[in-house]
Amino acid sequence: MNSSSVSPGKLSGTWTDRVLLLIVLCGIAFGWMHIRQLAGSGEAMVDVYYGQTLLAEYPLHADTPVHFKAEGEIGISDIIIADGNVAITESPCSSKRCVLAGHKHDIGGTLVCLPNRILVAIRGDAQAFDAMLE
Amino acid sequence: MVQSSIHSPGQSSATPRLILARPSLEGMQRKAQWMALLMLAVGIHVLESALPGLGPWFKPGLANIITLIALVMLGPKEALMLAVARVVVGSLFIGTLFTPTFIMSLSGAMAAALIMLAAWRSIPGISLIGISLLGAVAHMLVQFVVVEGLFIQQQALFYLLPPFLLVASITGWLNGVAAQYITDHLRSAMDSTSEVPTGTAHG
Repeated sequence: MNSSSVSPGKLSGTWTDRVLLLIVLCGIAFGWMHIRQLAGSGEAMVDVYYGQTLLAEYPLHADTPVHFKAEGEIGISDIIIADGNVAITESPCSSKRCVLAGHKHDIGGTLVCLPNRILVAIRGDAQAFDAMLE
Repeated sequence: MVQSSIHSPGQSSATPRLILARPSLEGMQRKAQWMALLMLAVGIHVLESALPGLGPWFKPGLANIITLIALVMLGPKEALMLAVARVVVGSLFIGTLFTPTFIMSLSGAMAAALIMLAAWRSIPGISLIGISLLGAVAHMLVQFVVVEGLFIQQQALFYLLPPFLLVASITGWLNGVAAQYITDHLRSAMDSTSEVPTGTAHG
């Protein structure tokens, strides 16, 4: 075996592994806080994108339910905004993972249909989101 | 191995002849090991695609265990080739060849393999667990960058990144533990096999 460079470590990892894990976890925690901050606060808005294009923008807590048909790369994705939740209810993709992802209701919540290139994101007020784009 | 040009039966003896060099037993064994690992990795890749979705692009990355084993058993070049071949052959079976899923899988697998090779060579004291952790993180990061660059050019996509990275770190660590356990046992099995006297029948 060609194993001279690899430590035959215990199953709990070596000290180097643990230090790397700590660095990675700290990076994730920092990134999480940063992204939550940039996603904004205040009134929650739902943005629907196809690739680079913003297709629609709705308040998450609208008085009446919204049913939006987003035309994407391979067909139409049905998006429902109701009762403070947003969900993709129908999609032309084969895996339907975007549908199985269920409802999102928090700022920073995101639904993605990659084959159809549709992104649904919940953000806070426009000022914070603009700051992120810069 | 072709050492000179082809010789047909009617040609004169002055014509250059084809001589096929017999490959070494060790070389054949390494190729057989690589093929066996590839088949195993493809099987796991296909199995993972059949698992219920745990998220938009999330997979446990079990096939990466095989890349780690190839890294230790066969070396960095073979591990990289195995990572690429696994995605290509696996995508043929799943039917996702040249789709966005394939591009994400391929870019992620290549990035993970390259990072793991670099870590294996350059970080002292690292074990397969740390290597797997770095590979899983690299895999996830590159997938996001590829999606943002090619398919959905919105930075809001990165809202998803921290939770995905957290899950990737956990699965990367667990896969590393599995790879470490397997390679330790393989190493001891190979050591005991090498002690068998020459001429003993196997199998």
